[in-house]
Amino acid sequence: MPDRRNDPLENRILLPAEISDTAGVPPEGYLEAEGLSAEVLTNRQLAWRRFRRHKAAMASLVIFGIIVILTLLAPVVAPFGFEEQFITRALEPPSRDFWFGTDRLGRDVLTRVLYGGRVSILVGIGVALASALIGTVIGAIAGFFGGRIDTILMRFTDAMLALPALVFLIVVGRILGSSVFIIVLVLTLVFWMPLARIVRGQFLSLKEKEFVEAARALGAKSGRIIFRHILPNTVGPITVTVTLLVAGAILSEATLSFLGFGIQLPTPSWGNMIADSRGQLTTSPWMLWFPGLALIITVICVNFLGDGLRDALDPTQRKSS
Amino acid sequence: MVRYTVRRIFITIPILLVMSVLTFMGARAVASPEAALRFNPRVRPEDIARYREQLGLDDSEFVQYTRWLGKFITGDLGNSLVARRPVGEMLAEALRNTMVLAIVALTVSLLIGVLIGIIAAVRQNSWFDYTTTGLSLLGIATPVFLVGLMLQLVLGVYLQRWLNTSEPIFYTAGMTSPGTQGFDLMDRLRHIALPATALAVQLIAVYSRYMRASLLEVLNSDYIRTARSKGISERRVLTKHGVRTALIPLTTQAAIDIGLLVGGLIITEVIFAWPGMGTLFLQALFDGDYVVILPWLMITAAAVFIANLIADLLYAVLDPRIRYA
Amino acid sequence: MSVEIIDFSVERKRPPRGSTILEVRDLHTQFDTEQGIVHAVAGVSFELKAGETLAIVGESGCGKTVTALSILGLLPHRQGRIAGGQILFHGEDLVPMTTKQLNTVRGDRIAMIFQDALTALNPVYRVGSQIAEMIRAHRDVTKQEAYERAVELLDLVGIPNAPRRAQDFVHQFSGGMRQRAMIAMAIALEPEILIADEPTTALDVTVQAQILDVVQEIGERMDMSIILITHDLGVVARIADRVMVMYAGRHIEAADTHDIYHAAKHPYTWGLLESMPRVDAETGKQLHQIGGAPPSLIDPPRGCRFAPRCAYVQPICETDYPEPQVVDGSSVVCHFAARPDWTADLDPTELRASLTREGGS
Repeated sequence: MPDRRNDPLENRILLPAEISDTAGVPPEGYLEAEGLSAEVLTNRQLAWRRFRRHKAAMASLVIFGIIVILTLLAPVVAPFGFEEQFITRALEPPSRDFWFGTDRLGRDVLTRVLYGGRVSILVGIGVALASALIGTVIGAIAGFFGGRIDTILMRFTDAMLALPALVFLIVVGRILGSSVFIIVLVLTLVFWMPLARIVRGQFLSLKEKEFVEAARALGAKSGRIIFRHILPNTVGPITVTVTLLVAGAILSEATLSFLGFGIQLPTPSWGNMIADSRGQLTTSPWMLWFPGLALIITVICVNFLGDGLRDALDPTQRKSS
Repeated sequence: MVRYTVRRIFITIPILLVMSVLTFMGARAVASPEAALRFNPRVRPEDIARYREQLGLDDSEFVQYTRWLGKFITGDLGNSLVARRPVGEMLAEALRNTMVLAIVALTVSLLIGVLIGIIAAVRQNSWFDYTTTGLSLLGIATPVFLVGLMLQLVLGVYLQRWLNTSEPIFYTAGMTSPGTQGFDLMDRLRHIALPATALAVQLIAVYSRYMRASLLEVLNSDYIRTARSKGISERRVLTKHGVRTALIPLTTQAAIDIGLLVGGLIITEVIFAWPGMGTLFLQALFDGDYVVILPWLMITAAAVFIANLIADLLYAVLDPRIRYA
Repeated sequence: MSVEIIDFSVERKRPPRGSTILEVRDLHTQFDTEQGIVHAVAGVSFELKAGETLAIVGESGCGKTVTALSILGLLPHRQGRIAGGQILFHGEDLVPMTTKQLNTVRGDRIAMIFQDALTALNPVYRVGSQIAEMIRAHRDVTKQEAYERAVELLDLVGIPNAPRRAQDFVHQFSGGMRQRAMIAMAIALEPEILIADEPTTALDVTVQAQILDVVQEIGERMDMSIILITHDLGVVARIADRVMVMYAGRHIEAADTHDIYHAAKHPYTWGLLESMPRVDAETGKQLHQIGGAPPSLIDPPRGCRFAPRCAYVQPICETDYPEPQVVDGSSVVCHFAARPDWTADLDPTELRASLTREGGS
């Protein structure tokens, strides 16, 4: 089913229970509001401090960092080449020689998990960044100009959201092919919508703010208002959403590759490695466990990162727990 | 509300028409009608030409589209190019099988998810809350194909090995055992258990989070405090004022999900060889059987629209604040 | 408002007017927040006598609503708790009671009107059935009877066409009507005590007066004691018999309404009164405002909590918390309340001078 789970809009956000009559507690951000704090640097420090308080996010940052470094350095750290075969030692369980075992063609599973991670993570980040670009442009145009432009763009966005994403991916992917570039492109087509909606919402409210009106009164052109005055204020929510999109994109790539519509063998990706394990599931389960675990850990880490970033950058949307 | 419903349906018709054009183009692009003949090495070019003429493939795209649409609307879906069976029959069977799986999984998930969500919200920050939160994060991060394979391995293969039984407790493929006569409930249950669980893992994770958030929001509201001030029992405060209100958004979400599941069980069905819509779609895609793909895409799209309409209407029925004009 | 009240209250002996029915002793209420423990109420004591209307006054955040919620044990679960003190209702302490025990008091004997009826009433149930629910919780009547009673009550509080409006949802009511519905619910069982938490704050001025009239009239007719929580001294003057002024989680002065207006004994009360717009004020005179902001309730000042903002502040105020003392029938929490020259007209420099003189002699 389409990944509603990683749709940031669905990550319901609750404010802590309002306790009436507890004044005397300076609200967070109170100092800034009073004009008592120094400039942007302090804001950044505050955000970092809030992020550090989120223990799971900090742990995830470390783990995800290690995963990214290891996979990016796959050609250096991997014990073998990803197409290197040891035919006589096919389907061997994990051992001193092959930490994660070998697959049907006698290839080292650890090596392929590292190389596969490289593809999976690059696709995830690529999709998230491309979606950020498209989503921000569409959302900004819709929110800033409003009126008919807004209506048309948002109808289109809603229609795209209603599309059964996986079917769309399969059909379009089959038409366009399945190189890494195409897969990023196709996934972007179904991932930009949440961002467009969030950016639009931000623009709608920010464009009514006094500082924007002041800029307008001073004769600033639309472009300048968008880029200098509004966009910098939407960086927080955009960053949070993009992070969560990385997780969604990694999952979707894995799903597509699993079905055979994504990254094609022999280039490994976690999704096609898991698919490849199906034939030997009962005899060589390590072919499933290791890419599977890598995928789960990565996705959890990215989700926690997004959560921590929300606490840090978007404190008005803090979750209740 | 009747007027609203009628209007919504009228708005949907042009959208579905546009979808049908896109679908037609998409289906033709992915599925080559000659694919069915390619497998036979003795097919001669004349055969292909005759075949194309039979299907009207040499007419213009526009003529083909309108001809297809006309038949589609009157319910004439034609015969599958490969299976040589009426497409309507194939779709009806696949849809029925998919709905069985979807409704079983959805019902179980709703029951368990709602229960977990309620306990987690009532005992916020307890060990139960933390454990279920952790598990649902795990469930959300684990794609359904991974859950499916792990279930096949653990509950299918290992369980049989440990218990040392001659046949598996839970079957890892199909809807019924080959050769079963009539309706054998136990056999059905042993087949549906694993695919339904694979689906439920995610759904429970999502629904329990959703219910927890929704109930917490309600429990922190002023009217819960008012209800407590009335001296009604805590149980009644929780069920009648809390859970009843918190269920409204979840109910509509579940209605939307049923629509999505019509075409959305592809992965589960592939893994567990469940003869439903997803299997049919992939098979038709590989066969290039566009006669099947076309109505398939239309049905799944329509299901999403219908489910969304039902969800909106349901919302209006359940929440008096919502009124559609 | 001319319908006879069909008596749904159980035959209950009302205590004689003037006897104490509720006594709050040294109440402490705390909240856990991310910043630390908030001591929202820190040692409040007061009495409510049968038949009287007591107003609790103070600026927002002074702990008046928390005091009211503490009485019925309605603090937000987990975050809020009563950390000490007693709440004696007919001599019986409500603080240690279980929810089940409290439920026999809630609604039936002590009922509450909340500030914003739109959020305080459940949006998905009809107004009439929400009132009926409360009746059914305490009386052995059928659904039908309870509902009919609810309609009568809506009529009683002045809602036109009550039988039809009872079937409406709260969002279909206007602001004043919502508050009337809220009142109808609170008085349904003729409670002994009615706690009204800022019942008119969310309303237009004209509607405010009507709502206060309803509260007062029904209070008298049903012989209820009323605790009225408000920050609006105009409201107080209108219906209260006695006033308790709170500041930063503590009561600082309690007196008859007349005395509060004419012979207040606490500098904070003076400030409050001076900041109230008056028709008979000299034209052109600026409204007074109390400088500064209330202190942090996480780490409150050691001495008098008003000291940081008090014009008359002396060294002792910053070190010692003043004990309540009774002066001319008012209970005042101020070191200097008993001084003969202690009025709002006293110049702070004069106080300093005379204190030095007294200290020197």
